[in-house]
Amino acid sequence: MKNPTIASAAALVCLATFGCAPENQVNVNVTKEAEVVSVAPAATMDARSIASIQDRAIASMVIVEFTFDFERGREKLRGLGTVIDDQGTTMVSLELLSPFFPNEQIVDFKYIMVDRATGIETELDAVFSGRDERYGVAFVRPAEGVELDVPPLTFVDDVVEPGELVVSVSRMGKPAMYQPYVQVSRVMANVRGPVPQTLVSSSGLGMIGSPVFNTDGVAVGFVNSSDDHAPFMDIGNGEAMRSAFQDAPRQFHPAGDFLPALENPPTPESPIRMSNLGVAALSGLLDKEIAKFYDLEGTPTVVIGDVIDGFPAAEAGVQSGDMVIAVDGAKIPQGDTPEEAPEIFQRSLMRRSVGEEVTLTVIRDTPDGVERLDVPVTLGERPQQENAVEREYFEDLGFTVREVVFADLYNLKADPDTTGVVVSFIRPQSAAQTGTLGFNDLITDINQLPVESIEQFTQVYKALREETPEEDIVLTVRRGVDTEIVRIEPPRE
Amino acid sequence: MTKLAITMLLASGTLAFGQTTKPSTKPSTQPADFEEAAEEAREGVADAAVTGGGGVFVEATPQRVVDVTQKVFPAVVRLDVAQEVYRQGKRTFQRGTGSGVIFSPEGYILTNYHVAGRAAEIKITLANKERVNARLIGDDHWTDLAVVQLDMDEIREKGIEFPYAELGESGSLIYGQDVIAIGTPFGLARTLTMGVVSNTERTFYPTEQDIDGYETGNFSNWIQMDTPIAPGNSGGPLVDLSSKVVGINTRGFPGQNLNFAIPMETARRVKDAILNTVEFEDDGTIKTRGKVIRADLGMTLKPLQDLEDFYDIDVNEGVLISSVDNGSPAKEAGVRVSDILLELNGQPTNVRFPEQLAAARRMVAQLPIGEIVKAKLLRDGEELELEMPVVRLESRIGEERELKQWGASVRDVTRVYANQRRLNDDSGVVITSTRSGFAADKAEMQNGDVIRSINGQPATDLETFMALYDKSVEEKQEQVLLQIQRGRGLSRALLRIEYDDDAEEEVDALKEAVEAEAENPLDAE
Repeated sequence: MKNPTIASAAALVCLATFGCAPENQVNVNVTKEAEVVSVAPAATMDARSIASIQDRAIASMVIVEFTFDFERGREKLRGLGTVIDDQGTTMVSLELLSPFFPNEQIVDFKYIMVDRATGIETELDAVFSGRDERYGVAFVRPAEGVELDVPPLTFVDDVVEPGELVVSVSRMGKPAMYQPYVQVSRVMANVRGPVPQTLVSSSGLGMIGSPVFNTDGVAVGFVNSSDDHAPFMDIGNGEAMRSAFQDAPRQFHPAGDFLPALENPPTPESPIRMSNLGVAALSGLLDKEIAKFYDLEGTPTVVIGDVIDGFPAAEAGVQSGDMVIAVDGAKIPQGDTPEEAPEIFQRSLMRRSVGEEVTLTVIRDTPDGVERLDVPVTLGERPQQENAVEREYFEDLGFTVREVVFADLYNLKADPDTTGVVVSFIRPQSAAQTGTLGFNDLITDINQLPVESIEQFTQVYKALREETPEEDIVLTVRRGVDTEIVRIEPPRE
Repeated sequence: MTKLAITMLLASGTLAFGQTTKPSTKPSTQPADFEEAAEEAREGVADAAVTGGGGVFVEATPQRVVDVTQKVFPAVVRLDVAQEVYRQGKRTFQRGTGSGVIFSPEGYILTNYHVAGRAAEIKITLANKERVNARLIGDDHWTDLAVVQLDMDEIREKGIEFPYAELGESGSLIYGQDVIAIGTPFGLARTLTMGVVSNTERTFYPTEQDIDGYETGNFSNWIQMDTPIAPGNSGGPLVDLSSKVVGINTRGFPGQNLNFAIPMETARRVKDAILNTVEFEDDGTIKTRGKVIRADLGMTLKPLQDLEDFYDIDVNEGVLISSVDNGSPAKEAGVRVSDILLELNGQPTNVRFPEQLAAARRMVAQLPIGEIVKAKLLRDGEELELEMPVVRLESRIGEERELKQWGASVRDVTRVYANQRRLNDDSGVVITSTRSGFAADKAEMQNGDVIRSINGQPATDLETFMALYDKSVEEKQEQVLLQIQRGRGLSRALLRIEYDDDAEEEVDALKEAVEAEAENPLDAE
C-alpha cells in the first residue's frame, strides 16, 4: 500500500480510521555543517551574514516530539518549534498541534536534542501548554525539573516590504540528522485577508515552524501554514524533505499578527478562553446589486444567517438576516474579496475577551423598511470543543464514543438539553461497523436505558458485555434528522 | 418446493409450473381430486407461518389461455401520456407510454400513477386500434395507481364499442399459479406473456421507494411473477386463467423475469376511493380529481424481527416504532422512539416480519381523521396508553408551479417536507429547478432554497406566494428582493428580471410539437 503523504493533522486524524504507517527508509549523505561565526548586522546579504543568522536562529530552534495515541496505534510525530522565553516556553505552528487532535490522544511530549557532530539524540521531557487559536499558534514547555538550555528568540513587528530579502532557517529530517539549512528569498507582497501573509519569491522558505529573518537578522515572522506541506518532519519516506526543497513554502505569518500570543502563552492550568458571539451561517455580501440596493457598495459586510438561541447575539436582539457593517464603530477591515469578510469579522471577534462588550452596527429589513441599528453584545465563552472532551474506546465491539458537545446538537438540530454520547471512531470490520453504527451518530439510549453521560454509558456497556456477552447491544441513535435503532451483534467465538 | 406446491403437484398429476401443458391422458382436473387438493392446500396454508393465499386456482390449459385472450385482451389499452413535469424552471410535458385495462362500461381504465399520474394529456389506443382521448379521473402515488376515463363523447361520436375486463381477487392467489400479463412492452401493443406467481407478498423493505420523489409502495405488498414484462407494460393487467384481473403490472427487473404487480385487493380499494371522491361540474367536466384520503399519526413502524426477547414481549405481538415525526400527533402525545405499539384504536398489531408491515400501515391509514384514538404502548417493560388526534396523511411533495419570468419552478413546502428538513415551519416555497440564463439562475439560486418572502412580504403558503409573484410580474418589477433559507442560514437574493413576452408562445409551440408526435401510432419507446 502506498504510503499516504500526510499534509495536515486533519488528514492524519482522518486516516487514523484506516491506519497510517509511514516508513522511513531514506538513505541520505550527511554533509558538513557551516562554521560558527560571530553575529553582525549586515547591510548586504553575503554568505557570512546569512550563516550568522542561521547560527543565531538554530540556537533557539528545537525539535518537538509527541505521540498521537489513538485507536489504531501510536504514532510519533515531530515538528519544529522556537523557544520564546527564558523558561523554555516553545512556540509551534497550530498546524502541528491542531485542534483536530483530541487532547486526550496527544501524549508523551519531548524535546529532541540532536548532537551536531554525532547525530545522537537526547530526549527531554516536555508538556503540552495549550493552543491559542486566535493567533494560529500552540505551545509546549519543559516538564517540571527539566532545564532547557536554549536561548530564546525575540520576534519583532517589523514589516518587510516587497523587494526586500528574507532568510528562513529550517531543519532537514532524520535521514540528514536534522541538519540546519537556510532559504533566502525576496518578498513579493504583503497580502491582507483573514490571516495576513507575506508572500515570497520562488526560492521559498523553510518548513512549517521555521522562523523568518530580515536582512538585519531580526525575526519578523515564521512559516505557519501551507496547503501543500505537512507540519511533521519524517513523514512518508522522505517525501516531506523532498517537497520541502523542490516546492518550498512561499508564505509566512508576519510577527505583527501573532506577537500578542507570545505575551501571555496558555498553561495547562490556565488555557486560553475563547470568546463567542453565537451566530452561524455567515456569508459575505457577494451580489453587487444587493450591495447597491442597500447602499453598501464598497463596504465589507457580513450577513448573519443564523442567530443561535441562548447565546449572546440572540440575547442582545441580533436577528437572522442582519447584515453587520461595523464593529465598535469601525468598518470591518477590507479583505481582497467580499467572501473574506466573514472570516475577518470572526477572527477579530476571536481576539476579544470573554465578557467584553462589542457594538455591532447592523442593517436590518423591518416591516417599516430598512433600518440601521447599533446592537451592543456582551461576548460569551465558546462552548467546549470536540478535542477537549472525554473518550472511551470499546475494543471488543470496535467503536469509540465521546461526550456530546454543543456543535453536535446544533448540527443535528436536536434540543440543546439532549444527552448522549457521540461515535467518534469505528474500527473497520468490527461488529459495530457490521451493525451499521455510523461515525458521528449520537447515541441516546442503550438497551432502552437513556444515556446520561459518558461515565454512565461506559458503566452500562461494560455491565452488559460482562453479564450477557452473547446478546446484541441495541442502541437508539440520532443520525441527521432521523432516529434509528442500531443492533450490534457480538462476534461469535 | 413448499409443502403446498408438492401437494398440488401430486394432486393434479401434472407439472404445471409456468409452461403450457400438453393435454395428458389422465384428465388434469378431476373434480374429486381437485376438491381434495384444494382442501389440502387450505390446510397447507394454515400450517405455513406466512399466508400465501389458499383455495382453488384455475390452471392453464391451451383452451383457457385462448379464453383469456378473447375476454381480457380486448379490454387492454395502450396509453400515450404527456405528464406534467417541472424541469429547468419550466412546466414541460414528459412523454411516456404504458398500458391500462378498461374495467367498466363507463370507460374507466386502471393504470399506474407513474404512467398517467399528473397527466395533462392522454391518448388511448384501443384493442381495435382506434385512437381516442382520455382524461385523468384521479391518482394515488402512494400505491402507484391511477384511474383514467375514455372520452365518452368521442366514443359515442365514432360509434366505438369496447369490452371491459372483470376485476378479480388477489387474496386467493397461490404460489406457482399460472398468470398472464398483457400490455405494451417497449411500445409493442397488445402483447401477452405467461408465467406463474412467484410470491404473493413481496416487500422491498427496508429500502424506501419513490416515483420522482413521491412516496410509494408503503401500503401493500406486491405480487411477484415471472411473466416477462418490460417498460411499457406498466399499468396493464395481470390476469388469472379464469380471465379475471388479479393485479396491475407495475415494475420489474427487465430480462430477469422478476416482476411485480399491485394486487387487486389494493387496486380495488384505491379505484373505489378515487371514483367515490371525484367531483364533476354540471357540464360533465371534472371539478376536482378523485383521490385516496388516508390518515396519519406521524410514526414510522418497523418489524420486530426477533427483537421480541429484547423487548420482552410475546412473539406475534406489537410493532416497533422506529421514529416519530416532529410536530406530529404521536410526538405531541409523548410517543417515543423504540416504544412498541401493541394496540391502536382497539385493534392489536403484529409486525414480526417485513411482509406484515403494509397491513399495519394500512390500519393507521384507515383511522378516522379528526378523531382521537388510543394507542397502547409498551415502554421499558410497562404498558401505557396515550391519546392522540388523527390527521390527514400528506406527501412530502407539495404542489408545484412554474415561475416563467423568473426562470424557476417552485413547490409548496409541506408539513412533512418541513419536518424532514427540520425547517422552522412549513411556510414558503422551495425551488425545484432553475432555468439557465434567467433571473433565478443568475442570482445563483439553487434547488432546495426556500423562498420565505418577496420584497419583504412573507409568503406563508403557495397561494400567497403565487399572488405576490403574479403582482410583481404585472407591475413588471425589474428588481425583486427575496429572503431565502439555504441550509441553516437566512440570506437574500436579488432577482434582475428581463420581461419576456415570448415565453408564453414558446410553451404553446412545444405543446403542439408533443401532440404532433403523439399522432404517430407506430411510435415505440
